[in-house]
Amino acid sequence: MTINSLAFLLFFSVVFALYYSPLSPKGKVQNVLLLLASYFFYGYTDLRMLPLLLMVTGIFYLVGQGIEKYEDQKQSDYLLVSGIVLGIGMLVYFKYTNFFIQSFANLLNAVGLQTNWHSLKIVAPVGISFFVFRLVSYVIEVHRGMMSASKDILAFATYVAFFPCMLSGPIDRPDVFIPQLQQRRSFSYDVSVDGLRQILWGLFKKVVIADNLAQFVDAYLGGESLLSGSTTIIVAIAYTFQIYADFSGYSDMAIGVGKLLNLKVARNFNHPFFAVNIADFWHRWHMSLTSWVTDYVFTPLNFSFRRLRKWGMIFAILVNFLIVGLWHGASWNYVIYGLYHGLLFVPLILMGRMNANTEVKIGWLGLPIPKDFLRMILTFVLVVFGMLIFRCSTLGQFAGVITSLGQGLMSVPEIGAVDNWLFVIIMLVAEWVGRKTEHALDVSYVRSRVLRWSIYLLVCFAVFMKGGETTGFIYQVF
Amino acid sequence: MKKFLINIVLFILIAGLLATALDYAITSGLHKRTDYVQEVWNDVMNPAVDPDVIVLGNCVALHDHSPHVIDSVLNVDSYVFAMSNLTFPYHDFMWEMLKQHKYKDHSPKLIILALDYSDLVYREAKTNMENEQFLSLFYDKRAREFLCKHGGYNWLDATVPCYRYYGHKKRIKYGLMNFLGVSKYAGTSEHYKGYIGLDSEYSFSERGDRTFTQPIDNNVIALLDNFMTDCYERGIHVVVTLPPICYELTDMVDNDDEVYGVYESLAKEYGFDFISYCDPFWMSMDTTFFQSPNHLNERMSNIYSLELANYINSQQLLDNR
Repeated sequence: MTINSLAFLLFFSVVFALYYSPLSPKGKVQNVLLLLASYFFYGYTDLRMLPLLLMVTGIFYLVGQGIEKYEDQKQSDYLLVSGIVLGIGMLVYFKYTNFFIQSFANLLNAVGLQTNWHSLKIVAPVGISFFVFRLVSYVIEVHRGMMSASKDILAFATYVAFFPCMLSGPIDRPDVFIPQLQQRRSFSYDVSVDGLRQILWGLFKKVVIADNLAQFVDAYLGGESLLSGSTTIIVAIAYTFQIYADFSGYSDMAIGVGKLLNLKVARNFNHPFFAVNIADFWHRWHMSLTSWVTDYVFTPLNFSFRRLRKWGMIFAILVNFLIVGLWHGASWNYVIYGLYHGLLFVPLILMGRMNANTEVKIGWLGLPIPKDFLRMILTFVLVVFGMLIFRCSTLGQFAGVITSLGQGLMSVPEIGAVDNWLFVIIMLVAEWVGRKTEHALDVSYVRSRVLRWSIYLLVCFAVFMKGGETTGFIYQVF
Repeated sequence: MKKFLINIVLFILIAGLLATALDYAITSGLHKRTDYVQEVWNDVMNPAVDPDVIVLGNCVALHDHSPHVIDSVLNVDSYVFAMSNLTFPYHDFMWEMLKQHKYKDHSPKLIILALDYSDLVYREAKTNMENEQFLSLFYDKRAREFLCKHGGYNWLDATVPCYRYYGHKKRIKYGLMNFLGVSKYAGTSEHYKGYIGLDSEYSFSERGDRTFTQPIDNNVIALLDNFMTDCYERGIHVVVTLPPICYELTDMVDNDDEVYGVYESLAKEYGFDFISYCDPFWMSMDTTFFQSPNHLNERMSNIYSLELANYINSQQLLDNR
């Protein structure tokens, strides 16, 4: 049951009706409903892993209680480390075991030692990267004293398994999300309407842009034949828009569903293609993951190595992005993807421009001034190259893509269906116009209801015209 | 909450009205198209097209029965009403549609029912390779009911405007463009009265040692029985024919004789003609006669049609009809 399916619409309609009905007079009853709905949703997706989710939820709840209970710092530290080791250990076991086995075997083979090691049949629980990061975040925040351990296991379990965010994020922070669950949520007209708008915008991005670009990208990047350089560039650009529309589309829908339940879900994207440097890009792209690793990896490391000044920061940023890369999965392309982005920060750190002003100056016709526009283009080019690394499933495929970049650069590229690009342009224009808002379809400032509804109907029409490809969400496998 | 729900209902109503208009526009536009499947369905529903001899069947009917030959030999007006890759329930459905739109108060002189080993099962129209032909038929009550009952479509397809078109991007585009009169999207028609000759080289990718047993559904046998009863009562003579199928394929079907036995016994029960051109018929023994194991090439389809027409002539099946 994906979030953009008819089954989800039916499922959520029932949850919504019960959530605000007199049958749910208290926040706790609403939480019971949300928790049951979340476990149903998760079980529907992967029933085998539901017991694991229940077990780790229970364990982390107790670890949180323990951290708060022990006044002795050492015992509290011990519990924190146990929690982190358990969380990261689960990730390592489910996602990286085979990667390590295979990489080690390859290494031994390379030095002439023949091995006969087989990969283990390990099935990673759906959404593990998301819920483990939520759990680890919880024990760290409790340990830091930024929040008290949740006494309410219902609220805690709901935070961990909250169904809109379970499969593809965003990764909510416990100190923001759990307090929302500790009171009854009453219906808010304005928030709900905005939630519906955001769901519609997410649906547009997913169905109209991502799913259609996926057909084009898969046709070219999945094949054995060598592409011309110009086509490779176009396909890489298409993939960049595809992954953005896919992932931010899901995030918008999840946040929109949260709004309908009057719960504020963490923002995940902030119009990343208008970033003027790579640091700005990462402040706008997969924000819930970026802020997570910034808070729990980069900042402590940077502090620890502060004596090394800029070099300490470079080390911290490289480790930070190595983790960002590896978070996506066990594959060398993710390692390289992470390191590539880490290295892109080095010039910024050396020039002292990490925290430079990234406010875009507006010039003629509401467009960015040429200098800022060029900076956006340069950042976009760097991002597109990174996405090529991300997309290639093996290093061999990546080498093939790099080789193809060197030939036929001036040839006429394949661009696929022209209307796909037209919709990409519509998305970019809408996002530029709505860049001060959380999502591009926030047209609440338009006074005429006829005009507002016409916009919604046009988006629905585009979904109808271009929809129907049944591709899953890219980030659902992480 | 009340205001929210009222606005939701209002929005759905407006969207529903617009979707109804859009559905109408797409469907009308598709009916204007001149591609093969659409033209055949238009001819089904057009009472002015009134052939004396009709050929029913799947793609073996479509590619093997040339109205050029049948018309010239029998001096009749014939038409092939075929649906590729579908089975007898769909031939029966086609017959029901023809009766509803064309043969209300009279009947064709002869029905050539072209069958093969695969006809005694139900198949879903929704997953058929030419499923888009059914989308514009939902305005017809009988078609709608049949497609929802047997074709894999559901009540949402039948009742929610535009729902069945979702995902058929080309069909939506073609329908709308035709509705708006953009001639570029009118499509091209390469058939002659429902017949399409094939002229490419023979190929059979699934050739091999494996064999398979073709399922037989008793409900389909009952349907075939009903069809024959209906034709018998209306005084229509039926020729059940098994067009040539290449030996490379028939060798792979374990129970083709059993299937053909069902056709033959039913045909004989009603006094209809049953004639098999399948293996070991000479035309089935040479791969160069075929475009694919099920379909003769154009040259041989003319020869087969001539054989069939000569048979009908020799048996005087059209006399006094």
